[in-house]
Amino acid sequence: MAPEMARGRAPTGVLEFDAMLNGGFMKGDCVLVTGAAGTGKTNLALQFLYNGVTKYGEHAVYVTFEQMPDQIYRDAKTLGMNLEKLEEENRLKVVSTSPDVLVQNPDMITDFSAERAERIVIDSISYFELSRKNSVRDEIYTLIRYLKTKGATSMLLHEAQTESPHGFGPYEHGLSFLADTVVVLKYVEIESAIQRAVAILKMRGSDHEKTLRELKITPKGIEVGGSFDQWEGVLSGAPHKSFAIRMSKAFGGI
Amino acid sequence: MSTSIEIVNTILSSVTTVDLMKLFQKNPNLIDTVEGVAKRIGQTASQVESDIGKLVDLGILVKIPSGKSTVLVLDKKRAKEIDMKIESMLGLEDGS
Ligand SMILES: Nc1ncnc2c1ncn2[C@@H]1O[C@H](COP(=O)(O)OP(=O)(O)OP(=O)(O)O)[C@@H](O)[C@H]1O
Ligand SMILES: [Mg+2]
Repeated sequence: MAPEMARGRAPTGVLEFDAMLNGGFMKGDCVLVTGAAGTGKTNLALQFLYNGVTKYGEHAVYVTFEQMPDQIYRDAKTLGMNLEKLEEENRLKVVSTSPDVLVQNPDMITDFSAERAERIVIDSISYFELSRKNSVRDEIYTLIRYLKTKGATSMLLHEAQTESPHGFGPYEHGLSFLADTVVVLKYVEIESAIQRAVAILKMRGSDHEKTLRELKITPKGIEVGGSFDQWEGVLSGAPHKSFAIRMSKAFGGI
Repeated sequence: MSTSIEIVNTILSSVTTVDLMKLFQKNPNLIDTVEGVAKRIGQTASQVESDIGKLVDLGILVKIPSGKSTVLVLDKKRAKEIDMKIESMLGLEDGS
């Protein structure tokens, strides 16, 4: 059985990740999930929606701007999630659309037949940059405000382009200011193996874990593993063993 | 009311109508402008206009005014009805 939903929280259902968030996202918050291609944004978002429906009885909407979104069903299945079944039961809906249409008809897209959607994912807001003529920031701000008025806990996915220290350029800084919570997904290279990692950069109104943790994509879904605490500089992309470990090694330890 | 055979003929009348049907069958909650829908099947708005019109006439696709433009959605009930008509026409309903 699912762990109890803490008051005022929207747990992701990924136990270790919820622990990092002190129980889950804050209900009604807008969460920015940023990361390079393939870091696991879509998978994390699907897990958040799927668990929201199956473990916490909420209604969920996944909005995608991908040209061929039907593969999402297949991708979800490889992680043990059957989206079609939830759609048949009217508890989840996968909507494909374009940014312009979303901005002009947000109700049509996010509303459920009778129920209110408690969880909404937009995959991804990077498409706004490709398609909008107006100020991207204004458009996204309007979208965030809309999602907040709806009272839904939302996740905006964003494909990070820059390889600056936190995968954050000036534009991303603007975005992260608008969002209540910012989650960063990234690749880390440790002894020539590539791993995925997750960190919570900010969470308004709540304490949260500050360390970078391993993110695992498994046939059973997303899992969060240990921290990279013997590695310094993982977040900046140039990890090297921490001073203390090097010292103790040098003196015959570990 | 169109007969099953007329409906099938309309759907099979061009590669584009078939592509549109496949697109909406795979993405039953697709909501997009004519341009957006056209792009998804690798065509332009003017290329798909008349084929979309045919599916709208059959009631499979519905045009909804949206801001300055119009969006297209699938009428799921109607699509299912037509699916069943086609199936029974092809004699698939008896599991043969
Ligand atoms: N069953 C699985 N087991 C292990 N890894 C998997 C599994 N399914 C998918 N993956 C991994 O997940 C990755 C894709 O993750 P996801 O689609 O969530 O990334 P993303 O950040 O959304 O990428 P994009 O920016 O391209 O949309 C794949 O590259 C693959 O490595
Ligand atoms: Mg993705």
